[in-house]
Amino acid sequence: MNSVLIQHPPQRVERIHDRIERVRDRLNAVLRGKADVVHFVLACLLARGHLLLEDRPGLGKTTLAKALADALGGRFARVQCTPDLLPSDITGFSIFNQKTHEFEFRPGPVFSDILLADEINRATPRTQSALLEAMAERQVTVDTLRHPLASEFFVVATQNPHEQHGTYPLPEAQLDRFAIKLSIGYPEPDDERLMLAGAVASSGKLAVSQEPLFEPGQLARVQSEVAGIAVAESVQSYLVRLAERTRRHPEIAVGLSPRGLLTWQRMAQAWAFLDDRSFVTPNDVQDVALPVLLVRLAIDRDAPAVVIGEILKQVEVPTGY
Amino acid sequence: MRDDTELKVDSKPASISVGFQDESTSGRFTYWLALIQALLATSVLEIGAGDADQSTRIIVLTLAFEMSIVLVGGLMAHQWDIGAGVSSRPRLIWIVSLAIGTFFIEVAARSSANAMLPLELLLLAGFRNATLALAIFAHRQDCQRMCCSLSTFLIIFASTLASQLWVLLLVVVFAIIGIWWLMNTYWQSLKGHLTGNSEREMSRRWLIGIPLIVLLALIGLPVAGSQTHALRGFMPSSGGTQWYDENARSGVGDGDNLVAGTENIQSFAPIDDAPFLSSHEPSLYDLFDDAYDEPVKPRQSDRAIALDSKLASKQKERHLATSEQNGKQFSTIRKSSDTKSRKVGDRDSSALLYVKGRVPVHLKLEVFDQYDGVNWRAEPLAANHSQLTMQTVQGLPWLQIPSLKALEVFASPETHALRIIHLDTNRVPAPTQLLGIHIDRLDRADFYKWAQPGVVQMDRDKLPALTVMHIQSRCIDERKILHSLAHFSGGSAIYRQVFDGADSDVEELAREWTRNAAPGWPQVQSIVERLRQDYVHDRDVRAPEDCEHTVGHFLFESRRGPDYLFASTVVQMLRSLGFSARLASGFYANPARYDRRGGQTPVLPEDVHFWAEVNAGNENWLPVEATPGYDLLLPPPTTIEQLQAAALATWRFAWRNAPTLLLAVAALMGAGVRRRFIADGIRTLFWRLFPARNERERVLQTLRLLDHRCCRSARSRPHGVSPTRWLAQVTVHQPDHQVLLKFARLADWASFAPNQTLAPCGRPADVCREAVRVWSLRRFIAIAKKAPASKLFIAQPPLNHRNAITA
Repeated sequence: MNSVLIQHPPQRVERIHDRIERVRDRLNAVLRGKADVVHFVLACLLARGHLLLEDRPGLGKTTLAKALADALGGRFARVQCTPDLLPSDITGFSIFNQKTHEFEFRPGPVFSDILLADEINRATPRTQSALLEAMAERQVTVDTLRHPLASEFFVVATQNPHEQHGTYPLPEAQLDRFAIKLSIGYPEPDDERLMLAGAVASSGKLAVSQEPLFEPGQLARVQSEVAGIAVAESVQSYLVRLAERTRRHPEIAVGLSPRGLLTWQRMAQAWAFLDDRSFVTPNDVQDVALPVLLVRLAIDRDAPAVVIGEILKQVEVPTGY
Repeated sequence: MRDDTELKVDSKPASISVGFQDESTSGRFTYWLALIQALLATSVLEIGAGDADQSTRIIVLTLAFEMSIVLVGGLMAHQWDIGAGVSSRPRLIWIVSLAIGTFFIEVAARSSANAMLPLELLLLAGFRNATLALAIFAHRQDCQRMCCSLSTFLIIFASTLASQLWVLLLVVVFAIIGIWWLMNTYWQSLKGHLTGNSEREMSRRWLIGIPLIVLLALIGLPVAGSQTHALRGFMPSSGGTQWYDENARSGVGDGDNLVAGTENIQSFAPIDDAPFLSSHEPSLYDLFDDAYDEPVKPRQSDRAIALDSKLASKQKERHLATSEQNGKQFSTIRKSSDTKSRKVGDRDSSALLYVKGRVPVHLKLEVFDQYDGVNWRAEPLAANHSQLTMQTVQGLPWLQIPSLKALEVFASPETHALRIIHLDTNRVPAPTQLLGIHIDRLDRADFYKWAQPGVVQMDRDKLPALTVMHIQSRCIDERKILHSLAHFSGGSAIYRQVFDGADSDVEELAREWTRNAAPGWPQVQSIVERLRQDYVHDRDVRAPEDCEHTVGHFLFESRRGPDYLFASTVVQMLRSLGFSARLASGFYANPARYDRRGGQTPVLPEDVHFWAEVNAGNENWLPVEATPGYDLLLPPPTTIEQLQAAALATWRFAWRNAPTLLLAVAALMGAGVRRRFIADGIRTLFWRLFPARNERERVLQTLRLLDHRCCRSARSRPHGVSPTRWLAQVTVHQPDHQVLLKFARLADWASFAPNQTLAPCGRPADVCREAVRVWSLRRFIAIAKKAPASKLFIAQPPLNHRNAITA
């Protein structure tokens, strides 16, 4: 008999959840008052997706990415995107070694575990596409040679929506590579006071890197476990109906792609995992709908969240009975 | 090696979510086989049931309708995955309701319309409905199996109803497909597609119930005796006991509610389109038969009309029963000619004739014009009476009664059908203002002649029995009479002749009664009113034998008497005032005897009646009814009059039943006000009485109950919000919110977790019970009153959800 009874919650998953909670605590400590953003970032990480942060400068995007890299224990790299940034500045390049008379590959910042691509919309489309190819394929090709990236490769890209001069907005096809789009937003006054107090207490000392919370390869295992979270047929039908509705909505120019649908399901799985469940409910699908759809739907209206809310309200949710 | 985990899987109750085994071809094939079985069984039933009384077109249409319902319904059920939930109970409830609903429809049909089914057909119709409903859900395995079992049952019983041999071919095809289906099902189980090692626990109720039924049957057998009796009054066609039922068919009786047949007819009945049969009885129709059979020798002979030989029945001479009673009489036993049918007994009726049409109606047979104080005499018919002619109206021969100068006092003509049963006269009973007579195929005017002024007779010894006569006539409209310039002293002087021996008291009384009335019809009305008010109708009162003036005795001494004295008095009083009047006798079709189901009124020997007629110029005679309890036929009411009458009847009914109605209204209002609590009480009762057998179904039952409670509290859940989230949002910040959150987690598990997943908490039944107890409808309503519903839809998820649960 091949039946496997899923113990709920199993001991191993319990430990992983503890670690995830500690990651959450660490992120909450550096990004005060943004528990919801941290929750989505964790879900995105577990869903093996990439994150696009769209917000003003100085709101903690880099801090968040660095704290995440510290917590996960991976290599962190940052690329400040400018119009003169070349694809090889990101992917790496081959250089002729005069001693060996051979070309040697010098890996670029993509060969890290967490890559922060700051102001990605300032890079030229050529550079953007090189990065986005790496995101989608998890590999780069330089001089006809393929170089695989780390299995936990996680991109946090940022863009400033308010400065349009000298920028190259990401087209929908490229946006589809990101799992979700988030805005951090200004913290609440209380959180800002705590932040100020914290800065005085630290007396301007440089933050010391903390111990990583994940062992090498452990994140990949958790990610594959997330991919195995059960999704009932009725929930999948619900997802399909929602996707169909986005394609027929008069105010949405480009509806949800099948790749976007897969990402949505994976995000819902990660959401269920974070909620300590081994199955996805329609609530999970709804909870992750906004960031998943915001990044990839071309919505004509000024308030895209309203359109997404309308779609969620219109499509009948499976009740289970 | 089997470990604990596997054991737990095996010990779970049987899952019923196999369906098509989703897209496997074999599953789809089995589905179609089951569907064909159901449709074949239904076809045989429709053919068998409709064999007797429905045309082929109707049977084909019915079948096409049923097939389309099953196909479209099945497609929709499969497409939209209706009933895909874990629970099969709602589906089964619907299917059983469909089967039982047939009986309620039948009860409604019997009480309101004249359409009925015999019980065996009713039972089979219930099975048919259940089979078709199961066929719609045949993509689910449990429904498919039950559908095939019911189909088998249905076709076995339905095939016994059908008389056509080719129906057996359908049964054979059914058997082949059935075997095919069994093979497929077996093959699939071998392939491991089915939940072969499932166990199903028998409910405790059945464990007690089945032995109890068996025990009762064992006790009942000796009481019932060795011979099993049919349930008298419950099985109409069980037959053999001389018991009559109007829905009987294919038995010894011939139910009134069946339609006429054309094959192997065994009785006569008075219907227009009855087939012709040879008989010893004298008939209106005659046929010369030169076949070399034993000649038919009628015991009596009477004048008859010749029939076309094509109309002759091919049947041999034999005893033919007659059906004289009311209803849709006919005369058939619809067994095929090769089956031996039992001899059918006569069904006698005491009625002389039946009247189909509006009643009351006065059917005149004789008129009297001379009165000698005791006896009435009729003058012989004058020779110069007008000729009767035949006219064809819409292809039917009608005897035209010549109408004289048109008088605008009548309502529009109307037709009555008379079914003659035992009337031993050759006079045609007809209303005063007779316009025409029609008997099927009788197209010769010389069959009729005048018997008396205004009375037509047939040129035979008596009217043909079991024959239908159509009489066209018109009734008077009193509203028109009052405004017409009718002259009531016309006609022969004999009609104004007052009894010589009478003193002037009658005339004086007549003048006194009509002192305030205008000349003409108002005088007639005054006399009638006084007689009706002051005099008593009594059939048993007789004038003394030595009485020389019965009218005087009635008017001044006894003041009570039978109808002929009322009529004689009216005639005498009217004559004394100068009116032309006469006495008429015949039958009174009493509306009290009206048979609603048969749509007709029987006329019995005691309905012989006398009334007066007054002449309104030329030969226009108008009936005058003075006897209390008897009424003249009024013109058909207008729509407004009908509405007024309906309103009046409603008011009277309400007045008579005021206490009951008030109680009912109060109860209804109370139920209306408390409807939410009543509905919730019923649901909760069902939830308690019929708990689901496994944990998941029980949780889903509870979710449904709580969801309904939430919706009933004016918190209708939007389409796009799941029940668990809606419940959590509605009850947020409430004291027992945690109870509901715990239950919501359980409900999510029951709804969407794979079968093998264990419940997120121990003892789900306890959690359900607690949720139902704590979150009553009253509590939901209290919340709804506090917070507006519009604020409830929260787009962002509650992030502390998990923490709240684990806490």
